[in-house]
Amino acid sequence: MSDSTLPDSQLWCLIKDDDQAAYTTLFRKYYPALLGYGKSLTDHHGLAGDCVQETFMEIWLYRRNLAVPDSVRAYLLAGVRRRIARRLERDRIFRHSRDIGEGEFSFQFTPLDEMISDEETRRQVQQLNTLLNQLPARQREALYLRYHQQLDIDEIARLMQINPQSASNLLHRGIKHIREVWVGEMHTLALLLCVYF
Amino acid sequence: MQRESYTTVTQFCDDALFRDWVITGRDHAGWVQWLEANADKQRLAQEARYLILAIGSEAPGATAGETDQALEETWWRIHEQEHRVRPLALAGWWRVAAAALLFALGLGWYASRLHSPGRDVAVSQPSAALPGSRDIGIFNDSKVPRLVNLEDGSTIILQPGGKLSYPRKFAAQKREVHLSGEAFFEVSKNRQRPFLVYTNDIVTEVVGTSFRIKAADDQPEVEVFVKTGEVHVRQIQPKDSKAAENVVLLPNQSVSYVKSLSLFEKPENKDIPKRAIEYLNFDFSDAPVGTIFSTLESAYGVTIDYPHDVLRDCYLSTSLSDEPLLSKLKIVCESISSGTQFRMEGNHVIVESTGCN
Repeated sequence: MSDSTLPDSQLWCLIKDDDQAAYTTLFRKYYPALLGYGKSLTDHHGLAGDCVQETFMEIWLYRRNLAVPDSVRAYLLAGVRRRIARRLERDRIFRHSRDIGEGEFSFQFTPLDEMISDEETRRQVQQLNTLLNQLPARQREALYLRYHQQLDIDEIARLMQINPQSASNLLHRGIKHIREVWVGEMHTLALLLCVYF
Repeated sequence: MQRESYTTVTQFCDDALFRDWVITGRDHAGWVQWLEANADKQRLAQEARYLILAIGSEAPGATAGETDQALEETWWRIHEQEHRVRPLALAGWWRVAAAALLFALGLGWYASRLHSPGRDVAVSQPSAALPGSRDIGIFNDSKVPRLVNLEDGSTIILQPGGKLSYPRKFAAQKREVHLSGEAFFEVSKNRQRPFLVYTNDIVTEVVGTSFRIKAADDQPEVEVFVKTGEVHVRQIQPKDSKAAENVVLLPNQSVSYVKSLSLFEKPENKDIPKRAIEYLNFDFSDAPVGTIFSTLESAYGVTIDYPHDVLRDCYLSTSLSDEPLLSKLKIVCESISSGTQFRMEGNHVIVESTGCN
């Protein structure tokens, strides 16, 4: 029997040995995150769900030939992204049309309101959040993969099919831009810090 | 502490412990203390904190229920794929431990042919199917047995006049089918999801076994006979308020249920009935492939198309007793050679082969 406390690599090995319970554990662990990511890549939510399922199907069908990935999370996210891109590309060819923005990262960041207790913080966070959501899609995607999916730079680079330096640039450029627009108000706040902590 | 040398907001944002504090409040006292001791880092830390709060944290894209439903669908698609594409190496969990033989003898199938609505219990039984998934109903009005593949890998051979209904997708906890008439069941093993067969009066639960039921609508008794393993049988609706009687049957035991009295007689030992499929042991020793295929054809009422010339000199030794038809076919094809594949189209099996090893 497998349980949800096992590390991903161990679950993966069990799956290679036909362990259905391990497969179930892995599915339950990652399906919600993958679906969330998929939905941010396409407005067709059915398509997103389909692609997540296909990513998982592939694991079972080819379990004997699949190597254990360094990061199962990164592997799954990449699988979903690749599938959605392929399907959208195919649709585009068949329909001779182009959905502007389809396949582009559309995720909107939502502030962590439950961890905010005072109005000043709320105001600052709200302003930052608005700036974040105005960033170009690829910068937003890199931030999402870094801070929502906990991928490291190399994993983000592989997933977005760019080199690690470019991935790093995407992250830093996004944060830098936000700070430039926003940083003016920080000086007055610095002294009050301890109150909020 | 390395943290004291941080010079950018990103360094704080990438610090798992720092992020943990901002998002969950963990070790709050420790962090307040650290910030007091490192006043020069307060601004960076505050900025990072605002940023982390503004970015938010992962929100689940699906509920537990939606996830389980998707899991169910994924298994179903995996089975479809495995059956359609090629004879994959057999997965352990797919192997069959249970083969169930269900019977409704006598005039029962005449009755069901009349389509009398009052007899159509099969579809009126409560079903634990997933919400939204519709039952599939099958009535074999032909003169030959009809093969039905279920999503869990089980197969059913529905005899002429037999009626069967089952959900497109089984529920997560159990697999339920409804039968009126005669059918031979081969149930894929899954201890977490018992397989239940409802007939008019009784429900038969498979715990990894093979058994037979005679449950004709217009016969006074229903009979259950166990070949191997263990079977649980109970009334669907006890007439009086007593709890439903649960009868456990072991190999070579049979029990009769008397409808008029709504009770089970005492289980007794019985010899194996001389029914074709129970009689066949599917053990082949150096048998020509053609012989194996024709044995399967007559046992399951299917036709098997295979390249006779290519497979003329192929012989196999194999034991297929406890496998369902699809598993039997997979094993045979794999044993012939890696260049041998099959697919099913209704009652028709098409085998393609480049020859044997």
